[in-house]
Amino acid sequence: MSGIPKEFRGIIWQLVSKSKNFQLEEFYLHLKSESSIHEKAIKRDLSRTSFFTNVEQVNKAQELFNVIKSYSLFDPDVGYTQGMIFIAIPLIMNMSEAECFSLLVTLMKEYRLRDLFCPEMKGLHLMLYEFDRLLESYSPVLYNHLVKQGIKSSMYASQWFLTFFAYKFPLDIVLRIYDIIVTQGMESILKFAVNLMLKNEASLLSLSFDNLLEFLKDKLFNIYVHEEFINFKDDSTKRSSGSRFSLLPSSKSSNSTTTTGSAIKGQYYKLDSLVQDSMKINLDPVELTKYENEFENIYNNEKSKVDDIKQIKLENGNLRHKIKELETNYAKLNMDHIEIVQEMVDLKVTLPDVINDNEDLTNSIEQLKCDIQALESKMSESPSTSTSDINSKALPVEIENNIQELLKVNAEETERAVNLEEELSTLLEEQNTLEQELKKYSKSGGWFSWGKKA
Amino acid sequence: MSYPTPATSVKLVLLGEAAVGKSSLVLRFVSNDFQENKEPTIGAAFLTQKCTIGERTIKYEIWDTAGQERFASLAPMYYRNAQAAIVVYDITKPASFIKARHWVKELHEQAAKDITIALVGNKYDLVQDDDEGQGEREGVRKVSVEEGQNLAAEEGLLFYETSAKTSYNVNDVFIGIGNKIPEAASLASSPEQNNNEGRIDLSTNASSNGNRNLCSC
Repeated sequence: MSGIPKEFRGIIWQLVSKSKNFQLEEFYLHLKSESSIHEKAIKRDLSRTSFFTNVEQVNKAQELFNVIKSYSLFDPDVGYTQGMIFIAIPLIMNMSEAECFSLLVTLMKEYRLRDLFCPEMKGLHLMLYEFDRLLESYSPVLYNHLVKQGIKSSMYASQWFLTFFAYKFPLDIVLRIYDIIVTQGMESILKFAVNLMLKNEASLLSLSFDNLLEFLKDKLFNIYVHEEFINFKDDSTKRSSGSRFSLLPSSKSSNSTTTTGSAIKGQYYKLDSLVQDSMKINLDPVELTKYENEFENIYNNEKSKVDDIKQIKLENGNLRHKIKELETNYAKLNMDHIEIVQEMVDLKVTLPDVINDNEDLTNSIEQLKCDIQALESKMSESPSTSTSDINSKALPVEIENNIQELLKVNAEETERAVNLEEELSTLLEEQNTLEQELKKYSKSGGWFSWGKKA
Repeated sequence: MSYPTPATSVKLVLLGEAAVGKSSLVLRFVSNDFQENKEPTIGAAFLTQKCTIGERTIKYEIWDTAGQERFASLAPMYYRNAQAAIVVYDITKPASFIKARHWVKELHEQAAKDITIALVGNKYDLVQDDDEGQGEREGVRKVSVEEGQNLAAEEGLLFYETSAKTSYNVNDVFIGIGNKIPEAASLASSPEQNNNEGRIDLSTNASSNGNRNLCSC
């Protein structure tokens, strides 16, 4: 068991995954000539991906760019996500660009790799959850140690899953992992992940936060370095950084393994043991489905929580708006009230004057009435005296006129008095209703103190 | 656990659009180094660096996050318990400044209320004139100093323009943050109580769901 021979790797990957699709390859040729909004980002990342730029086939850069760009056009919902380049590198190195595109599409769709790269990265979160549960069941001690140290799997394992370990680890390892993923499905990457954790359990348990993170990111595979290299500590570190750029596991052997007379020539990593150990990790499909359902629940709960919060925030905003509106209305009403009270006070102040005037007038009317009576009785007492007297006739006429006039004035004044009284009573009534209304408001309003108004 | 000088730990997170130079700023601060084509960060990277400011020694525990929008669902986990944040943009890329605005808003809404935020316009070397180091090359700069200053003033942020490449102003950012973080605050949240050593503490957050809730979404 030594993985797929490199000469056949590309063909076998395509056969096993049934990715060969002439229609798709033809479509690729069409997409290749189109331009994508992600072009700039892809170019930028390609130029800074050392995994690729140091590889012998730098000339594949253009092809790789074409494939990633075409995929971003083919699947606009996913577009381009950092990490995709790492996934595509092993492909482009083993087949033509059209075949590479076709296999990438197959991996994305049929192997559900797409879920990892889609905007919410739900597939990634699911995989991290499954990894947590597997680790918890295989090594509760290690799982708890990591939890206690405050380390979440997303802090170190995101990059394993998004790049099939290619982000930090050497190509020969990645190719072997790729072999297994293509033949056994995406989940098998969990086997590698869990196995690496278990094999490094002792070291991981002895480390705390900072060192744990460093170890998890860079050193997990050291346990699979051949013993012969471990003796040359300096050499091995040099090798590990150099070897990740090497295409073929055998090509680098020529550099530095001449000193070792070992039978395993040139293998820096014990790849076979890595694969064999990893395959011992059992992924029960029933368990996996259970985990997926659990995850789905948690995911939906979190989502509905977020939605609820959004909803509540919105409602809160509306209510705040309403309160403001009510407050301005209330302030306006309060102003009106003050105005009316002021008016009433003014009226009350003038009221005594009016009443006085009224009294005076009534008095003078009384007086006049008395005068008239006196005159009338005088007239009746002396009917005989100079009835033909012109003067006596002229006098009563004059008096009569005066009386008439006075009566008119009297009537007018009485009317005015009545009017004023009426006005007064309507004002009093108005005041009453206003006071009641105010009481009502102050009761229902409640947040405003009334001050001097009783 | 066994540092010779009692350093106060400050949890710091870097946020900002892809390729503005977050990782490069950290690399300059932590290793005084620069790489021309730094790899895109996938997921997040953790680094630490001690820094002495006057009498105090601060140990920065830095989370360098992935910039691509897609990874935003992972970010809350890193900033939720951070005491400081550096929001980075590229002074030659207006879109990155807009993104920085969004990050500042999100931090104000979601992060700790007393979080210290520094707004950093990176890649100053690109606009710098070669001859004198004074004056600016014309047309390269797309976000003016004033725009940065105004945003910082509006939102109460520290503000720097930096170059991770020439190391211009990089240490000043961290010194500025260190000065702004009150001693008591950093002491209060430093180690002891639990084994977390005051790091991004996810376990307490997760306890409601039996430690198995998702990070953020």
